[in-house]
Amino acid sequence: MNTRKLVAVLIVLALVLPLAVACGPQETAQPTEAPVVQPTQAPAEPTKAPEPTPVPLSYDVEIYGDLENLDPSGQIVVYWHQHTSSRDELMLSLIDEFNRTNEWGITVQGESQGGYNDLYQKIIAGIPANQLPSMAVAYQNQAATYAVQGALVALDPYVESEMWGYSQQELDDFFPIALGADILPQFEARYGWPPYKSMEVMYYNEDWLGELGYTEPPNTWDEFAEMACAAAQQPFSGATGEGSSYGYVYSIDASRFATFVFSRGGNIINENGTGYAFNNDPGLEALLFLKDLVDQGCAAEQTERYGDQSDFGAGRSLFTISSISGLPYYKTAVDEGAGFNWSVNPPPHTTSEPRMNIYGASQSIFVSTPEEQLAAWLFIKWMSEPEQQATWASGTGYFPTRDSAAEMLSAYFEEHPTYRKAFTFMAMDYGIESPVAGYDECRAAVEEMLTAVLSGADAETQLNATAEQCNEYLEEAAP
Amino acid sequence: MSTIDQSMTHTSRHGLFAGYRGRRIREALQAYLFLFPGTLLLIVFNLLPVGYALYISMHKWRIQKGHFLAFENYLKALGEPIDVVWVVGGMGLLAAAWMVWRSITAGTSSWGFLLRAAAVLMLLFGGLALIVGFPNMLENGDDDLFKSLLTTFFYSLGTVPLQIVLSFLLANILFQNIRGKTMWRILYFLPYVTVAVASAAVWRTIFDPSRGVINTLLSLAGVAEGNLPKWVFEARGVNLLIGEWLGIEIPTWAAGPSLALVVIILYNIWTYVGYNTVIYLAGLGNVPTEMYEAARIDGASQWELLRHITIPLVSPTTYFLLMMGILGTFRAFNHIYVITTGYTLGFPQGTTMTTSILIFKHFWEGHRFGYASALAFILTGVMLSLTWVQNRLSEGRVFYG
Amino acid sequence: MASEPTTPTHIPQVYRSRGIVTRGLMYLILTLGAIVAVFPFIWMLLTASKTYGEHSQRKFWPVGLTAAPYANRPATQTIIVPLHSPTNDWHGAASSFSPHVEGSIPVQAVTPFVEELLRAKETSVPFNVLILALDSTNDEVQNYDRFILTMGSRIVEQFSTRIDLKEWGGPNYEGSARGRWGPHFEVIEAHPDHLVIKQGWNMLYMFFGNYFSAWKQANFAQYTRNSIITTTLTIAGVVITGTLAAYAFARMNFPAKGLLFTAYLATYMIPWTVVMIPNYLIIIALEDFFKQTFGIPNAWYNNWTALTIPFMVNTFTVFLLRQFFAQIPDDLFDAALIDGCGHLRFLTQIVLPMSKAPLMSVVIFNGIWAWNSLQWPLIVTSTPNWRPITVGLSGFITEAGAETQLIMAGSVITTIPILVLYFFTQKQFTEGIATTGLKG
Repeated sequence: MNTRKLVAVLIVLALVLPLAVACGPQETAQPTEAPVVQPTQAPAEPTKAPEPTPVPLSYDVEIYGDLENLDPSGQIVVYWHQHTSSRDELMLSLIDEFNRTNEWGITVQGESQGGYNDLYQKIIAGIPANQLPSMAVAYQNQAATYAVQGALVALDPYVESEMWGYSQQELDDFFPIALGADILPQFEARYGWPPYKSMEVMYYNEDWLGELGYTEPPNTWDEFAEMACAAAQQPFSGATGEGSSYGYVYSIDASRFATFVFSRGGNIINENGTGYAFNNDPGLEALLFLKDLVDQGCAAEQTERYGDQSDFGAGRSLFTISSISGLPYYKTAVDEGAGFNWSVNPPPHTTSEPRMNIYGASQSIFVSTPEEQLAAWLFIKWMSEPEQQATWASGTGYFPTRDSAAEMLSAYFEEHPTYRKAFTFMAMDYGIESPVAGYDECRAAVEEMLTAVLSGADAETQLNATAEQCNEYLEEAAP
Repeated sequence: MSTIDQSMTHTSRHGLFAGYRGRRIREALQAYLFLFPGTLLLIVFNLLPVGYALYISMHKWRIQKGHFLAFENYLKALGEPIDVVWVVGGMGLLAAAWMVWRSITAGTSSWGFLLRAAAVLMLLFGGLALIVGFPNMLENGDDDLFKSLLTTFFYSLGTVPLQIVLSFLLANILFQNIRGKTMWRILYFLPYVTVAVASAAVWRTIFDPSRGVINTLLSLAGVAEGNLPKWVFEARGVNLLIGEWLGIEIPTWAAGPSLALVVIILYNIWTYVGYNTVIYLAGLGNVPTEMYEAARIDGASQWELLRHITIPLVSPTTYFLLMMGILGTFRAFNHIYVITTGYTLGFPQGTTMTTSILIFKHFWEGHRFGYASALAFILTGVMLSLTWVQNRLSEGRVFYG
Repeated sequence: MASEPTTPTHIPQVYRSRGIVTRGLMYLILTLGAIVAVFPFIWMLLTASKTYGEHSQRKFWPVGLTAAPYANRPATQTIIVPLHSPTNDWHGAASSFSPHVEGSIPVQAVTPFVEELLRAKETSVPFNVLILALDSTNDEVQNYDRFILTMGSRIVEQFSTRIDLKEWGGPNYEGSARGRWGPHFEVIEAHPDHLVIKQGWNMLYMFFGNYFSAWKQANFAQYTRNSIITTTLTIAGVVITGTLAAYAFARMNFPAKGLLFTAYLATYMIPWTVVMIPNYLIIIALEDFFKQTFGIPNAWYNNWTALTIPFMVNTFTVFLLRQFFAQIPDDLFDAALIDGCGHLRFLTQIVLPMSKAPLMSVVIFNGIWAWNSLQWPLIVTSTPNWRPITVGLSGFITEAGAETQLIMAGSVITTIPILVLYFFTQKQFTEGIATTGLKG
């Protein structure tokens, strides 16, 4: 009976196999993007190409159409993002305003896809199925992954376009980080545009620092270690709840590691994106530093998601280092917790000036029709106008990417001095994490490395093995 | 009764569907009609995708289809072709030896000796082939895969037996004249009904090392803060920790599953004990009461009743639960994923990386659709062979009343 | 009934334990087991009643489950709040996007519990709650349905929330602690120059605050509706295909029966991860086909069809029902045949009425599975239109971040419907397991 079953299973599989092979040609015929572009393109080219543009175009007309003469009227733009609840609402009201006021009658449909991960997975699944939105929120490494698959359009032609792009003056208004981060080294092209940014900062408990006899937050990592260990010895007088006190409650996170490395003058990946570069002194120092803090009992790992935030709020962690977008949550945590004075500062550094880890997802446009792509670009551009940036920033706690938005935030600044302080960090020196495909797996490897080293593994061996592993991922995923 | 059938169809039907034969054809057609909706869905959404997955597994497939690789993905996981031949062949020989041996007991005596010899030889060669092939496979294949299979094995071993023993105990107690049977049953079954995402999230907060209620209780019981277990965050083996506690040195190879995996094992037991209990109760209900009474008259003790009547008679239930339990642990994904959510897959340090999580990792983190599909087929192969072995082992031990 | 139900009224003599010690021990084991089984639920409920502070400070018992916040409530009062002109900007902000001060509500009374909390914050009654309107539309039209209530000076943000017209609201309804216990406001009437506001005590909110916040934040209303519909449809489909197939396997003879049955069995072994992407591609292919052939967009993608139809056959169900159908005595069938009954009529008129219990097991099992599905709905839907509650919950878990109390409240909300289904059908369910081959 049971052998029969086994045989039957094999037979069924054997029957299905030819079926599956028969699926093959259908699937290979599937990428329909090219044919979709051509019909709209074909009539446009002979009529319009000769007259207005004697200069050879710097972009592929097949993909972009004749940009300067394109008409985006009446296009429908599907926009996938990861914002939920109040941020989703704000996004919807912005979209609503764009839909009502834009001169081309473009309609944007914002669709929330859950978290970053869900959004990412959905797009990955959507690429082979050719089921993609017009545009989506994407981190640089995610954008690189999509670009490797040929699913994204580079944005340089739009930025440079006389009709639809930016003037040099406008470009100068953007922070260098905002413009630099989205040029993917593997393609030497821009695959995203950032209406907002976030960054890693150090949160510190001012009152506790005062109790310990310090007037200034730490500027160097040595000072940081000294203060953290002092705090572990002398808990905050106003701490609430139960449990131990630490100088620094950390969370295992690849971006945190990047912050540590940047602030020591190192980099995660080399400039042209061909190899990981964290297995040198800054990387090793970062690992050993954290390990040392933990061994001395000055630092401890958080035990639940955002546990560092809760511990900070309860007055049980003198410092934490995390994203500035958590600012409102930190505020709640402190108000609900020990209720002390606190602030943010750039993370300590061994470089002469602070070197920030400024990051944030950008907006990327998927290959569709030239008109739809243009319409998506126009929406992105509208979102990046100072007014919209300011609205978004004051509603979410993210940072605008251009200087002129700051003027419109004066009221918000006044109410949120911490935010105003952090805003000045935007103009500081920065490092860029890893705008390459395959970084997800590398992140996981880095996080495993951190756990391993902190529980006793040899730092140097781990560091080299992880970098090697990451380089393999990089090579495998490269275009 | 068949005479009635025949006379009925004879009088009422003519033509093609007339007669006994006609009735059978008609019944067959009707049966196919009955099976049509289910089978159609099964083909479209189960078998077709399997074939498709097989097709994917034979390609380099990173998000989109790449070039044809034949069995390269499988070999990447399992090592050199020769290793696979040795191992699969060895296992086949072992299985064949078993089957030949079984056939002898029922078979004739004249060939008995020869067959016996053949079985022994097959066993020998099979074992030899495994000894030769297996280390090579471990050496040349994908380390992560073998590590994950070991983790899955620990997971299964930690979960299934305990789950079955506990539920057998509970079912036996509930089967007595206990007050509030329905209430107990509902209470025990609650965990199974709960949405996994929700209960895994709760589990996580209960076992949280600093805010969880378990550690709060432990510290109330006088455990010093530094000695509190780190639960989900503990990558060290549970045997190692127990050894440390008792002051015995445990070698690394005997470290066992990590404490983090133990938390997941506990979750699994918590979820399924109630379910198993309910099914055991059903099994106990089917044991004829006369057997107990007869045995009682013969002066059997309570223990003997359990040993010689209850356990053999509910053995089909045990077998069923065993099989479902093992297959379940091999397929388990959701709760492991939720309990370790927010960290790297397999957190901490890959000690909760069961094979299904590994497949997910290759799929969604590495986007190696082809390789992930190949791994999934290997996992299916392991599951099928386990089921086969289990069927063989249970033969003669499961009592089908 | 074909065979005995589980809970036999006749208990075998032998199994009657005599000793008090034995019985005591049995009850002890049962109680311990029940505590372990139920404790996570109790913990879930306790945590869902806590405030953020209570959870992060490791408090075991939430103050919301004591009398303190509810005692000695001052009387309800109606206040008329004059509204300023929209140009009166908040703290001198210059641009149109920053919130306008619309007016302020004088608060004269809070509960003693809140008073105590305010004292700790160096604030006391009376104080003013500012009404700010975030008018982001730039269209010169005031949206009176969206308010942000903000309490002055230094604890501004903590006390901000939105109130919809004719709905209770007040400081701190978004989950954090203190304001949950008042004061509460209800905007009874909204006029261009004034508002009529009732200050009172919303007991429901005080007690179930976290549930309300979670419900509102995660849009659970829609998700629950979706889950109920898709789960019901899936169950219906499974029952239909399952009964038909099980009947064919149990009571009919046809060529390739063994092979087909084995094929059914084999599908149980397929890990979901393998078939998910191919399944998704199949759904997209179907979507394209329907769009091109019938001109129907979204026939599959973003629709209930993709969420239910692939799961409308379940081999486990087929086995379960087949075992039961096989136990039905042949005589019954023969008798029916004499009456001129065909298979279909025999199935619908005799077999199905007999099979209430196993069908109930099928309903419960498939109900649980369908309600639990998470990854697939995420992939085949892109709007909340048809997304199930599990997707809502898992998104909410990410969104709520550190606010474990809200996550727990969301978990309770997600679990309740399926618990209710189980409570109402548990008797037949248990019986169904007993009467089918489920036990082996």
